[in-house]
Amino acid sequence: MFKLSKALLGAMLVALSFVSCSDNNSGGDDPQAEPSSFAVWAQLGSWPNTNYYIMGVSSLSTGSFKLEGNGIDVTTLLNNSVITRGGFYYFYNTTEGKFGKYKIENGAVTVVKEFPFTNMLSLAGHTWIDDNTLVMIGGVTGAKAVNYAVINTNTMTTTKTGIVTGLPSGPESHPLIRVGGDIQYKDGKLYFSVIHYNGSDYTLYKQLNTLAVSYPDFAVTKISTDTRTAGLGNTSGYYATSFVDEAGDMYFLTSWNGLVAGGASTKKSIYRIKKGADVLDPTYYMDVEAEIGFVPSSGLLMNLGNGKAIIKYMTSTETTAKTRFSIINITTGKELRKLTEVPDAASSERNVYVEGGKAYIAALSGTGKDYIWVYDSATDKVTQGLQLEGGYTSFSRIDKLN
Amino acid sequence: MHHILARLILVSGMYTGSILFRFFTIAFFCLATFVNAQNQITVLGGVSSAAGEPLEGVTVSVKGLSLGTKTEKDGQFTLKFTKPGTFTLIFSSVGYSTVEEKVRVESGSSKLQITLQSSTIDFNEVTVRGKGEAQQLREQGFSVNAIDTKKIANTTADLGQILNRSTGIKVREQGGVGSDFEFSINGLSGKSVKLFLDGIPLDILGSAMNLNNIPINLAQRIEVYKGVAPVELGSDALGGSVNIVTNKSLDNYLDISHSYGSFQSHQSALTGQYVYKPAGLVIKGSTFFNYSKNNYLMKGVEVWDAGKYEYVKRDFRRFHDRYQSLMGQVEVGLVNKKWADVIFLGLGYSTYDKQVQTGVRQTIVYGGVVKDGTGKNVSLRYKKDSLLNNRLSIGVYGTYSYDHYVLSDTTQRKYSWDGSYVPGNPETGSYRMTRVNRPRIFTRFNGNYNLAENHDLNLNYTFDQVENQTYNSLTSSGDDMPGKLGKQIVGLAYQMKLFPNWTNTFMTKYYGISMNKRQYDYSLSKTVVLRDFQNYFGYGLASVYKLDNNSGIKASYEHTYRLQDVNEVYGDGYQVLNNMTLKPEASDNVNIGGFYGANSGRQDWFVEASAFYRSAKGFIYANQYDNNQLQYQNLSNVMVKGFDAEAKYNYGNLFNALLNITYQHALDNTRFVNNSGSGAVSATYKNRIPNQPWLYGNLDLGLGKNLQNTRGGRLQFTWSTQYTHWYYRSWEGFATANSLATIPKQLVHNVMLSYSMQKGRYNASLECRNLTDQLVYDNFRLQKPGRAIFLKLRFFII
Repeated sequence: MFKLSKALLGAMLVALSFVSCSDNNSGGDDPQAEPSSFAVWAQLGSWPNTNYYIMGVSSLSTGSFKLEGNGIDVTTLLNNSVITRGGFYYFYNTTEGKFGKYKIENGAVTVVKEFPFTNMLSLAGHTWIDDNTLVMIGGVTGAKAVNYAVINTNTMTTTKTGIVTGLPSGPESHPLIRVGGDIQYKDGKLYFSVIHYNGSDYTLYKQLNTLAVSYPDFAVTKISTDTRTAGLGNTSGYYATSFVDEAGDMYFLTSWNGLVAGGASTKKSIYRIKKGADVLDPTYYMDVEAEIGFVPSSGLLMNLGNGKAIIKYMTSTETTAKTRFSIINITTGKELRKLTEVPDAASSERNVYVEGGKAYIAALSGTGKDYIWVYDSATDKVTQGLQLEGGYTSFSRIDKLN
Repeated sequence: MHHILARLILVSGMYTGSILFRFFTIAFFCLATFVNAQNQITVLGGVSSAAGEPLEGVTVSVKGLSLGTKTEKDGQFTLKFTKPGTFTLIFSSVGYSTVEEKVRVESGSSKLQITLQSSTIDFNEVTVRGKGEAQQLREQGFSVNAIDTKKIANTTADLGQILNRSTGIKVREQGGVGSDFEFSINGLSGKSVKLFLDGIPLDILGSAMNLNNIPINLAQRIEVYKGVAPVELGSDALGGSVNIVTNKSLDNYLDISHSYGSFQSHQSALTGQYVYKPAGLVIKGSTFFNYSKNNYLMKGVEVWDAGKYEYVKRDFRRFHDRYQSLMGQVEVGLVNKKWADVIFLGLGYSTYDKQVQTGVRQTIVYGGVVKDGTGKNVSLRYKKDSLLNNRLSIGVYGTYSYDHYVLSDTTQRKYSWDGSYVPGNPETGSYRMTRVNRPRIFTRFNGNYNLAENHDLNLNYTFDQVENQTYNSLTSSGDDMPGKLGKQIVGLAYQMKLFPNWTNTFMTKYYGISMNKRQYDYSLSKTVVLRDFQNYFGYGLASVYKLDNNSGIKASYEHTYRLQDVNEVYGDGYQVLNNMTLKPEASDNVNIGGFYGANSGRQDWFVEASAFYRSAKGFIYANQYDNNQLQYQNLSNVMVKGFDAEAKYNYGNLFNALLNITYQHALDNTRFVNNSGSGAVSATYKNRIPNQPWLYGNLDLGLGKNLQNTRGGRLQFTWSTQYTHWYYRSWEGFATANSLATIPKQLVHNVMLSYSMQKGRYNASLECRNLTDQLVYDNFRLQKPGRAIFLKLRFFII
C-alpha cells in the first residue's frame, strides 16, 4: 500500500518549517466612540500598495496617535483631492463620472449623496460663493476651453454648468489652454488664471493671464497679463495656493510651473488683486525665491491673518528635496522668518491646517516619530503638538471635520 | 581482429527482480570470458516504431562517451565498445520520445531491439505507465509544474485556466474571454514572469497570443519553472517561466475542435501536420479562433435613477466586452538530414479585437474603448545533434516580428451599466488613439556538449532587441523619440552526476542590456540620442537526489533579474525624469522539495511537495516628486515564504484524483519609507502584502469507463473544484474594521462529461463552469462570469 517515504515526510516538514505562520489577525477594532474633530491624511505602504488613511483625532495640539487599527481606509471612495467644508468631504470622481458628498463616521467613509457628473475633464480649481454654493472649474478634452459647474451642496444638485466665455486665445505656437487651482470669489466676481501651451513638446507660452469672470454668467470681463511667470496655482483640492484676506485682497502663488521654450522654468511668484480692482496689482510682485532664497514647493500658501501667510518651500533644487516653511508678510511681500523649529519634512501636499492665526503643520521628518507643529502667529512661537507614530510615506492633508 | 558479439542484458525496473539471478550468473560468466577477450566488443541492434517498421536515422549515442551512430535504412545499428561494462544507450529521433536503455556490454550473442514511441499524443490513453516527459521533468532538480495536456484535451478551458489549477500559480482575470489578467508564480507577478512557446518568448507571436486565449489543443505539455529556470529559457525572469511545448511528433495528424457556449463564446482550434517521409519534408500548421460577447450578467451594479434622483442597484448584462482573436502559424521544413536534424521556416500571423467594458473597478463603465492589434513574424530554426563524435548538439533560432496595437478612446461619453450614456469626457481620461509598434529581432543559440560520462555543458545565448514606438495618432503621425532595448543573455550550465542518484546543475547567467532613446533636450532645444550599456551576473543551481526510481528530494537556487525597460531608465524627458541609477529588479529564489511515486496493480500515486523562498528587491515603480515630475525608482522589496503540495492518484483508466494546496506568506520587505535606505522604518515593513491571494487549492476528480460493445468508446466524467481564500484589499493592520475591504473567498466547481469514440478520434464534451453560479472576484469589485455551459466537438486523426 501507499507508504510515504521518510524522505518525503522530511521534505514536507522542512517545507512547513520554512514558513513562519506569524499571521496577525487583529483586524483592528474601532475605538472611535466620539466623532473626531480633525482628519489627518496619511499615506503609507510600499509600492504598489500605497494606501491613504484618515486618522481621526480630537486635537491637533496635544496627545498622540497611532494608526494601527484606527485608520480609515479611503482608497476605494476618495483621494486626497477632496474638497472639504462644514464637516463634509466633496469629491469629483472622474473615473466613475460622479460627484459626491461624504461624511466620516463610525470609522468609515459614508456616502451622503452621489450624482452623475461629467462636466469637466478633472477638477482644476474650486471656490465657495457661500456655505452651500460650490464653484468648480476644470479643463476639457482638446484643451481649448475651461468648463465650470455650480453645485448646491445642500441639495446636491447642479445649479449651472457651461463653458467660460471670452477666454484669451493663445499664440499659434501655443494654442492650448491650461487652468490652475488659484480661483477665488471676490467682489462678486471670480478670479483665476490661465496659461497657454504647446501640445507637441508641452512647453508653456511665457505669459500669465489673470481673468476677472462674472458670476453667475462665467464671462471673462477683464484680462491682465504678466510675462515674468507662466505658472499657475496647483490643482485645488490637493493644494491651496490662493486666498482672499480680511482686507478683501486676493493673493495667489504660481506654484505649478513648466518649461518654456529654451528649457528654462519661470518664476514661482505671488500676485495680488486688490479689493475693488479686477486686474493684477501692478505695484505688487513677490519673487519668492529671490525673497526667501528657496523655490516654493508645490502649492501651499495659506493665510494666517493679520497680514501674515505661511508658504512651503523646497530645501534644494534636487527632485528629492525636503520641504520647510516660511512666514511672510503677505501685504509687503517680505519674509518674516523661516520656521526652523519645524524639521525638514518629506514631500506632501496639503499638510497644513490654518485656524485662528495658528498653522498646524504635519511634518514628516523621516525619523518615525512625527508631530503636528503649531505655529502661533500672535506669539510667533512654534510648539510641538500631537504626536504621530508611524513610518508614513506622507501626510497629505489636515482637515477640520466638525 | 575479430569481433565478439556482445551479450546484452537489459536492466529495467519492471523486470529487475525476475532477472536478477540470471544477471549475476551471466555477469559472472562474462567476466570470466572477458579476461581472454579482445579489446573491442560490438553491439548490434535494431530500432523500430511501435508499428514494427524499422526506423532510419535514429541517433544512438552512449551516455558519457563520444561513441555514437545512426540507424541504417533497415533500422539496424552497430556500436563498438573498447571495454565491457554497463552503459546507457540513448535513442533519439525527431518525432519520437527519446529512450534511455541501460545495457551491460560483454561477450555474447544477444541483439538489442528497441521500440520508439511516437511523441504524438494518444488522447484515449488515460493511464500511461512508464514515465512521460512531464513526469521526467518533475523528477528534475528544478521546481517544475509539468502539465500533460493529453488527459484534458477535451476541455474547453484555455491554458490560463488550466495553469490556474496547478500549485503556486494564480491567474487573476478581470473578466471573461480575452480579459486582462495577472499571472503570478509563487507570489511574483507581472514582468517577473516570462512566457515561452517552445522556448521562444510568447509575445513574439503578437499580443493576441496569451495564456487566456490559447486553446488547450495547441499544447502538448505546459512547463512552469518556479523561481529557478534552466538556461535554455534565456531571459530575465525574476519569478519564473512558463514554457508551452507543442507536438513534436513526425506523424501525419489532424486535430480539429470547436466549442460553443454561454455568452456567445466560440473557440476553434486546428493543428495538423503532413510528413512526406521519403524526402523528410514536414509541413505543419496551427490556427485558432476565439470569439465571445462576454455578455455575462453583472449582479447588483449601480445605475442612476433620475426619477428617484439616486443610484440604484440592478442586474445588467455586460454590453461592451466582445472579444475575438485569430492566430495562424505555418512551418515548412526538413528533418533527419545529414546536415540537419531539423530545419524549419515559419510564418505567423495573429490579430485580435477587443472591446473594453470597465476600468479597474466595475463602477468605471466603458462603452467605447476598444483595443486591437496584429502581430506578424517570420522565423527559422535549426537543430543538429551528434556533432564532434556525438558529443555536441546545437540549436539555432532566429525571428523577426512586428507587433502593432491600438487603444482607442474617442467617444467622450459616460456610459452606465444599462448601456445608456451622456456626453462626457474620454473614458480612460485621455482622448486618444494610442498606437504602439514593436519591431523585434530575437535570436537564440543553444549548444550542449558532453564533457565525459555524467558531465554535460550547456551554453545558451539569446539576443533580443525591441524598439518601442508609442504615439497618439490623433495628434501626431509617429513616435519621433522611440526607445530601443537590446538584451543579451548568456547562460552556461554544467550538469553532473556526482553519484548515480545525485544530479546537480550549476548555472551562471550574464545579462547585458543596451538601451538607446531619442529624446528632446529642452536646454539644447534639439533631439539628442541617449545610450547606455549595463551588465549583471546571475547564478544558481538545481540538485536532485533520487532515493529510488520513483522518489527523491531536490533543491534549487537562483539569483536572478528582471532588467529595466527603456522608458523606466530614460523617462520621457518631460514629465518622467530619467534615472540613470535605476537598478534591475533582483531576486534570490530558493526551492526545497521532494516527490514520491508508487504503483501497485492498477493503482498509481504521486505526491510532491516543496517549500519556497523569494527575496525580491527593487521593484520598479514611478514615484511622484514635489515638483509634479515622476521618476521610476526601485521602490519596494518583497519576501515570500511558502509551500505547495500536490497528490495524484489513478486507478487504471477508471478513476483519477488530484489535490493540491498552495500557501504563500508574502511580506513587505521594504525597510525604509520609499526604499530610501535610511530614515524612518516603513509602517508596513514585515506586514503581509495586501491584495494578493495567499491560500488556494484545487481538487480534480475523474471517473471514466471504456464502453463495451462500442469501437473504442469511452465515457469520462470530471469534477474540479477551486478554492481561493479571502484576502484583504489593503494592509490589514492599519484600517478600522469598518473601512477594511476584502476580496471574498472563491469556491468554484466545474463539471465536464465527455464521450469519445474510436479511441479518441471523435470526441464530444459538455462542460459547466461555475456550476453553483457563485459571484466570483479575482480583483476588488470586478465580477467574473457566473455559470457557463460549453459544448465542444473534436476530431483527431493520426
